[in-house]
This record gives sequence, structure tokens and C-alpha cells, in this order.
Amino acid sequence: MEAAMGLMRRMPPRHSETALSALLSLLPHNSSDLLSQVDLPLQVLSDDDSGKRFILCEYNRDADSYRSPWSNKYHPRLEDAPYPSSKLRQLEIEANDIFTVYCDQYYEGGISSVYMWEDDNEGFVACFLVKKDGSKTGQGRRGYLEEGTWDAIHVIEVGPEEETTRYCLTSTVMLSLTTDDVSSGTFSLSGSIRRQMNMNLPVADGHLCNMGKMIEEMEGKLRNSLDQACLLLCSFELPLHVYFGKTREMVCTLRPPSEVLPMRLPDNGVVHVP
Amino acid sequence: MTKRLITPQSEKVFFFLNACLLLESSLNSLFHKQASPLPDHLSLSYFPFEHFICLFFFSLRSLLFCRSRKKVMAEEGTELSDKQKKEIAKWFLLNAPAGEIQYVAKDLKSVLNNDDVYDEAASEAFPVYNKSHMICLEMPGRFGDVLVTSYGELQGNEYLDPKTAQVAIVDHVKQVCTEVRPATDEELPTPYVEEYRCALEAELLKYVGEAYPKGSCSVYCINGKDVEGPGYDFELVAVISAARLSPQNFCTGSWRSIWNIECKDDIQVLELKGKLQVGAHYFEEGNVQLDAKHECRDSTMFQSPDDSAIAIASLIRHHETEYLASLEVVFNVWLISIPCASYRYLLTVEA
Repeated sequence: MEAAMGLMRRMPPRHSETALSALLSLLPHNSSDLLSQVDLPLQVLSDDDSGKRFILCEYNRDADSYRSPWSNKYHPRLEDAPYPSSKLRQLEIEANDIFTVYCDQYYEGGISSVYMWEDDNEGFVACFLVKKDGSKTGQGRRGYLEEGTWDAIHVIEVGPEEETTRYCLTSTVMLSLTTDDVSSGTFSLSGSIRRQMNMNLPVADGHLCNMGKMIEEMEGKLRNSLDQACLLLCSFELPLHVYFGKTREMVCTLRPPSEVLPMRLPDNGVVHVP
Repeated sequence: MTKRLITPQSEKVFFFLNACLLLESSLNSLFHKQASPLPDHLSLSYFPFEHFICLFFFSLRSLLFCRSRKKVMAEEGTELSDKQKKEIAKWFLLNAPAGEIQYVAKDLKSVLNNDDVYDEAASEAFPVYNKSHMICLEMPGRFGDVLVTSYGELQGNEYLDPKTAQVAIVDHVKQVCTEVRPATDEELPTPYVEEYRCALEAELLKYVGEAYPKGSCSVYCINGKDVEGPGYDFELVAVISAARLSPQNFCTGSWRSIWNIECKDDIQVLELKGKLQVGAHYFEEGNVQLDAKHECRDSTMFQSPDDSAIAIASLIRHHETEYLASLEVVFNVWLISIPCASYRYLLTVEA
């Protein structure tokens, strides 16, 4: 199992679906472990009742149906399906509304969904999902990319309600960017990163407020370490994400970027034929 | 609320796997029926196609698994054949990022849990990987390094190092050079071609030394090795390979460029065709990979060996530098496009 995850860490992320199905066929007995530990790009389904789209994941699935956070109905229809308690559902509705606004601010649109369910030890789990398509054909407001998707999954386990409640956040971000340009060739950057964060927060502030703070802080953390890494990177005004920055740093150290500046055309009588 | 424990996906996977495997095995048997009356050496020619079919079903499988959500119950049990396992193993090895094939091999070995299948897959995948990644190996006996490329490939596991006129014998799976022997006259170009080749190599070594820390380059003659003097065409290939591997820091990166230089005697022109490839991998707390490719063309006058070499080297320098600059531009565009807190950051920049 460890070796299988090791392989998944090294295979090209844009082939992660092929890699996963290969591992499933080699290790049929570990299939449930593999399926739960490997993140694949998020899928979206349309909710006809509300006219909105929602994100599919393991947390709103039962059998082959997925529950929409907007209408609280399963698609396709499913008898005898589990639903969150009415109290939790109320929180879920509120969370969905707030998270939509959050995504509009931070992600400039995109599809978002929040799911909640009770867990076994008197607490509950909330899952915040965002899918953003920034490609030319996508709904993003900046259409620079041939292909550019960004999926974020924030899962927060909330402990039993006491004066201070324990929140455990696991964030996964999946990214795929492709640029195809005749003059500069093809570039593709894809991958996923996963980070964890634990916090004890007073429940008096409200769960949504606490969870929102954590997600914001998680994203801010990534931005912070990014600024740090930026000092090491080539002199750029806008920093890349730390991880993507690192991959760029690798390219830059292969060839120091100072090489870029003294770009000089050959001056020894070379005939240029464009 | 308790979620249903059965994961229908895994059942679906089994079903589709089984269906695809059935198809695959029936196709395989078809091939074998066709191939069996043929002599052994001919039946080999079926292999690439069969390989392709296997890969096709392989990707079909992943497609079905990801897209289809129909609930189908199926029985477990159909084991993969050794041949299928080998194909999967080869896929993993060939998709290893630059410099990480040994790590992939180690993990793969324990996943496969079958040394025979692993050894067979490794013996087929490693040579392909080593050549396509143009790995650099140290030759025993102070001859320096040799690049493992398809341009320098002689028979067996022998690779020519044109710089030292030595032939390196390579152990692909261990990725070491075991022996060195001097190249024979037939393996080397004529003095006329060698003069051009050697002059270009000297120029490129200067350039690579300045531009790429830990880069190496080689210039091969791939066509017209026996041209004795002016009046005939010949073709050189210059390869540059640079890798930076620091697995302890969870990152690796590689640069590969291949320049075909056609020396056309009749029109006195040198035609250049370049293929550049950059890859980088960051794998701490995740897996992020960059992959960039570019092709370009240029040409210059056919001159004396030294002047030609200077002209070609400056063209290569120009194109590679320009490509690197465009890579930086793309990074900038991406950066604006990357969402996630960029909104707030842009606000602070504007303020």
C-alpha cells in the first residue's frame, strides 16, 4: 500500500486516472484503500430543481446517487438514502450560501458545494469543495489558458461540542494548467498537494465562522510560504504558489535566469531565415 | 447517519476490469494464433501493435472507471496475466519523472511482488527510458561522461562517446557504465566530417558550461559519416541534457534539447531543427509536475568548420534563451490565472 502511494506520488498527475486503474488491477484487495486515498479531479452534476450545479464526491454519495446541497435530493433518485439531521442540514444550507460568496471573492466564480454529515463520535464532518475552470471555454473570468482547472477539497472534522471544539482540517488542491501556443510550444503544469491543520476554537463563535477562518488561514498559509519561497526565486513581481514556485525554481536552477537578460543576436555574419 | 459500507465503485471497477480483460485476452489469443505459425523473429513484429492494443484497453478501462456510474455487480477473481502485469509495470517505469526511475522501480517491485515479471519489464523499459531521458553516465578510467542516446547507440548495450572516441558498455537497469573500449574506425566519421563535428562540440561545450550547471552535451554524426570531402550532404545531431536531482529536497528537474543539423552541400546551407523539453517534479506533501515542449527551426550558411560551429552554437544559444524567456512569460500568465487567494494579493498590489 505504501509503495502504491509512492508510485502515485511520482506518476504524472495528468495520468493519475490511468495510474490509479493500473494499481487497482494490480492490487484488487486494496481497492477501497486506494480509492479513498487517491484524489481524482472533481466531477459536476446539474441539479434540475434549483438550476444550479453541484460537485460530486465520496461524501455526498450513496450507492450510485449523489445528494445535491441545493435541493437536498439525490440524483438519480434514491430510496432509503441517508440525510443529515435537520439541525445539521440548516448549517449546511447556511454554509453553502456563505461559501458561494467566498468563492466568488477568492476564486472569481467557480462551482462550490458544502456537505455535512454526523460522524460516529458525536461530532460532525464538513466538506467544502470548489471547482474552478479558468480555461478559454470555462466559466472563469480570466480566460488565458487552453486548459486550466483548479479543484480544492477542504475536509473539516469537528469534534464533540464543548466549550472549545477541536477542528481538524485536511486540504487538497488539484491543479491542471495547459498552454498551447505555436510560438512557444506546449506547457503543462499539473498536480495536487495535501496539507493538514488542527485547531481548538471556542464554539461560541459559531462553527461556520471557525471553519471559514481555518480555510482562509490555510489558503493564507500557502500564500505566506509562497512569499518566502519567492525570495529564493527569480526576481518576479507576482509570486507563484510555493509548490509551483519550487518547480519553477528547479527549471531556473537548471539554467540560471541571468541568461535571459543578455539576449544577444549572433553578430558573426549569420544569415537568419525566419 | 452511517454511510453504506459497500463501495460500489470497487465493484464497478472489477466489472469493467473483467470485461476489458476478457476482451484483451481474446485479442491476445487472436494475436497468438496469428503469430504462432510464424518464425520467432517474425512474430516479434506483432509486438508493437499488441502493445498498443493493450494500452488502448488500459486507457479505456480508466475511462470507463471514471465516467461510468452504472451499478453493476460482478464477481472478483480474474487475475491479470503476467503479460498484462508486465505491460502495466512498463507503463509505470516509462512514466517515471527524470532521475526517479530507481525509486519507481523499488515501489513497483513491492507492488508487483513478482520478480520475474518485474525483471522482464525492467529489462524492456530501462533502455527506452535511459535513451529518451538521455542520461549521463560516468565511464570507468577517466574518460569522463557518456550520454546514453539513440544517436550514439551501436549494437547491444554499446554507446559511442564521440568526444573521446570511446564506446561505453552500459548496464541499463543499474544505470552504470561497466566497460569502455576504443571505437573502431567504422564507428567514427571521416576526418572531413569529424572536423565539423569536433568544432561544433567544442563551441557547444563552452555554451553548455556557461548556461547549464551540471549539463552535458554530445554531437553525433547520424548521416553521411563516410563523406570524404566537399560535395556531399551529411547530418549532425547535437544533444544537451541537464538534470538536477535532489530527492532529499523532494524535487527533480531536467532539460533536454536535441538539435538536428543538416549540412546541405549543394545549396551551401545548414538547416537546424530543434526539440526542447523541460520537466520538473515537486513531491513534498503532494505531486506537482511541469512538462513543457517546444520545437523550432532555423538555418545559416555552410562555412568552414570553425565558422559553422560558431554560427550554429549562437543559433542554439539564441533559441534556447528565447524559449526560457517565453517559459517565464507563461509562468507569469499562469500565476495571474491561479485563483486561491490571488484576489486578495492583487488587491494589495494595486493598493
